[in-house]
Amino acid sequence: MLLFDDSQSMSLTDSGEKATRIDSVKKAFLDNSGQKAIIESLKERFNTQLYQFGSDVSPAEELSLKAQGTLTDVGKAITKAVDDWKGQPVAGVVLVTDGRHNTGENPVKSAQKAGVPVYVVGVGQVKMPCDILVSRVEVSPVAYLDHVLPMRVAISSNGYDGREVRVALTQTDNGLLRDSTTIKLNSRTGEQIVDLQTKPQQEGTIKFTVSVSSAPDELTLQNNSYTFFVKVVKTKLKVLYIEGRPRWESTFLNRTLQRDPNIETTYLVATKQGGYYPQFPPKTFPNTKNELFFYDVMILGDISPSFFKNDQLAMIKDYVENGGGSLVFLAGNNSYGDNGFGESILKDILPIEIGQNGARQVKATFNPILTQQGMTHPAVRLSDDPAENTAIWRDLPPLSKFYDGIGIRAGATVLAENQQEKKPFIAFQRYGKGMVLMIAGDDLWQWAFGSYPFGGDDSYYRKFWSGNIRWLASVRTQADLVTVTTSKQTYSKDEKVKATAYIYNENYDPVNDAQIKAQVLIPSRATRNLIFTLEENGRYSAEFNPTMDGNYKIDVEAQRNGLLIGKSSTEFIVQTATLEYLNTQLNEPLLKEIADISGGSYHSINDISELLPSIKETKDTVVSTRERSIWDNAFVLLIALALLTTEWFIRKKKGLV
Amino acid sequence: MGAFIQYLHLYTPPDPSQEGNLMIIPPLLKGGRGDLKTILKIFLSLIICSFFIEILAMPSLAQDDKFTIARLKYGGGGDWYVGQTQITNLLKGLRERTNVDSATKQEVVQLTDKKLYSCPFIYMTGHGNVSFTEEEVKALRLYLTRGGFLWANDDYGMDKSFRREMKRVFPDKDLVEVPFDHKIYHSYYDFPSGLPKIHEHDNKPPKGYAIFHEGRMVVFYDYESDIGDGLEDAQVYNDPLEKREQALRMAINLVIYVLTN
Repeated sequence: MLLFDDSQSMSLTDSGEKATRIDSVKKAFLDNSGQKAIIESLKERFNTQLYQFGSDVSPAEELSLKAQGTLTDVGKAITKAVDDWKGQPVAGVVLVTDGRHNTGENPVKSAQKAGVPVYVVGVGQVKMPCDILVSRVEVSPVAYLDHVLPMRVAISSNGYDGREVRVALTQTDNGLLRDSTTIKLNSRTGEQIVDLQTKPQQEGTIKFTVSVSSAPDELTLQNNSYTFFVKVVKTKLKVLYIEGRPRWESTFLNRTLQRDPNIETTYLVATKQGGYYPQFPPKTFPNTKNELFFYDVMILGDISPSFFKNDQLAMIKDYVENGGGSLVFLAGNNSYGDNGFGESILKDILPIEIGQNGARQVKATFNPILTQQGMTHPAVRLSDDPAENTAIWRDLPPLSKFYDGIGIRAGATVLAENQQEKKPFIAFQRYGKGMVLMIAGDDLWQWAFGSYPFGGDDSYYRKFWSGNIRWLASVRTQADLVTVTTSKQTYSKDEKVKATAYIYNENYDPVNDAQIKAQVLIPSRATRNLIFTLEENGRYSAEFNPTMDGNYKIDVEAQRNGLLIGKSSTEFIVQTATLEYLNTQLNEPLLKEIADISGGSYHSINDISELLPSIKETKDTVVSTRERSIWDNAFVLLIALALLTTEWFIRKKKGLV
Repeated sequence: MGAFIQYLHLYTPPDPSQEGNLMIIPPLLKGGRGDLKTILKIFLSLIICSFFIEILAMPSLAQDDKFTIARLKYGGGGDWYVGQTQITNLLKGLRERTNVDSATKQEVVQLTDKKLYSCPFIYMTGHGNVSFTEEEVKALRLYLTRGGFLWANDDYGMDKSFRREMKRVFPDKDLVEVPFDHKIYHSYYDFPSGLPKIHEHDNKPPKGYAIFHEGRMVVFYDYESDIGDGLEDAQVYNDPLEKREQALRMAINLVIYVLTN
């Protein structure tokens, strides 16, 4: 078997070389000037099969490398190829790659499990290529008008030590410089941190770019700038929190929200009689759509849908779908249980599906674990460093129960989960113009009050809620009559862009007979017409295939019977996957480990002639091994029971019981 | 086992310093030599039991998510255990009249217990002397400033020592009288003229005092009213029905106020 890396990092040209990495691979394996090409020689000795891989693996008849894979998964390539040949004698696997494995299972493990020797051909240079890049920008997704917005920029470099470069922050739409500083590059300290700031002076979603000046002979210039969006809002975030019953979970949440200087919370707790505490003077649910739509985020506590009138439930749904509001569903027997929201008209907007008889509380201590998406997601960010964030979550005071009978809805994103039980703990989904997030726990207050005996304080609890509310408020688009959004803010080239437009009349009723004029402005400053078609309920969509990197802008104008309803625009960025360009040098240690552990050998592409003699003939068949936990086996339980019973019998016989 | 543990929690040896208390002499000790084995056996099983109680009692509050109130066991000789039906009746009232999902039993804690932090609401009452150790003073300050709440009920006689001890806990804060328009008198039932008078003792008007920390009420002290008295089972003090109703209403207000603020 011959496995060829076909990811983007293979398109790089290493310094001192003339050809790209794939070109040197092609030359080494196919060139038959002088003597026979390696592939030919292999075919003579062995029955060969070619595979090409990026994040996925596919068999190939002939070698046709294009270097277009946006990720590299070496582990999967090995496993898949070996699986295809299960039960047949295999001499080995020849793996040709730069070793920039950046997704999937650890390839060393895959090589060990494969049971056949892996002969590795390393492509590229071990020495770090010369490059300067903006590796990270840490910034709040929400900023306040006329308040300083600080940000932290990480610059990595190699090969330019001592060189002075300028790091600049510009507002992308008008190109105005907002802040800049000069640093002296030093690759020995790892990342260099630069603090920049700006004071936003206009409301809305604003795009910023951080860039670092380039130097001659850089590996790539694609990573010298980083673009991001910040939502600038005028005043405090407004939160409406409706709780079903007085309980400690709500007490501590309300106190935390009330203490947050940037949040203004209206807190209503349902009484047994159908009103709200405090009873004097009486409080009510927002009477009109405008009153409800005024809030940025709404939280529903452990409350039964039967507490609300039908038109109130419909108004909540409308608030999310058309008003662009964000909703948080907290767990409890009333909200998730039998006759909970799983059966109500709000069930579709939930990011989870609740089983027929409702979800059930199960007492079992656990710590929610962040998922891959959760590690860096602003809704669950307790530290800007993903590894530290994961560790903080793991070390929070444990929760005492989880909810059974819930499953994640297709299209929803899980941020944290109960790993033992495979249950979502925090998940969200977009619904219409709004966002719905659920938390399947009701003793998070242990992170506030219960952390003292553990020597902690309530800072993580406060940070969790403040980050969560800010993120939810930031995704809330203004309740404009015409809104256009794209499914993502950043796409890679040749990825299909889906744009969605929502069109409403002054009463926020969906308009299904609108005439939409839409254009997309592409990086070359040319425009293309975009055709939106009606999906349902005032929702229209259009698709577009970007062909070049850069900034794109979609402008939409909606009319009805010749009268303008409104205009909207949105921007997105197309950039070639950065993961492939973040680390680019040949990963020789990993490749050598793969070769060693599998009994194969490692060769540089420059010593390709050594490869052929090192491959041993074999009659070994591929044996696949599978790991299984014996703990889950009923037989083990039986043995344990049998042993205990025998012990009891022996004791009984000897008169010890 | 559960009931037994509960029993051990609630059962507290009467304080010998109190007048009129009887010493209880276990009958076993009066027996002959043949009982020695039995005594040893009981002794051993008590040790084993107490070991299990240590383990089981720790998470008992955290495991149960129902609302409960922990009675504070303090030093100084005062009868901290007086009125064993007060909390149970309040919890029952909450269950019947409000949507607070309350437990059926009170808990008992000392300020140095770790389990203090599974119950953010503690209750103390008595007629006698209250005294905290230095460690307890620190523990109470931490508990209150970090989210806990203390309701102190003057059963006539603990005013002087309670005020003295609270000054140790918060040297820079005073017990201030709570105005009638404060939410605590209107959170569930309406008390337009403040704290009701439940038990007549020395003809003074009832007064509600509080200590605030960063704007949040952390201590409520009912003085010259004895709300706790009116929470007791009817036959204990023979308080009139109307007084008992007022006591329950005020106590419910207190719980609702704390839970919703």
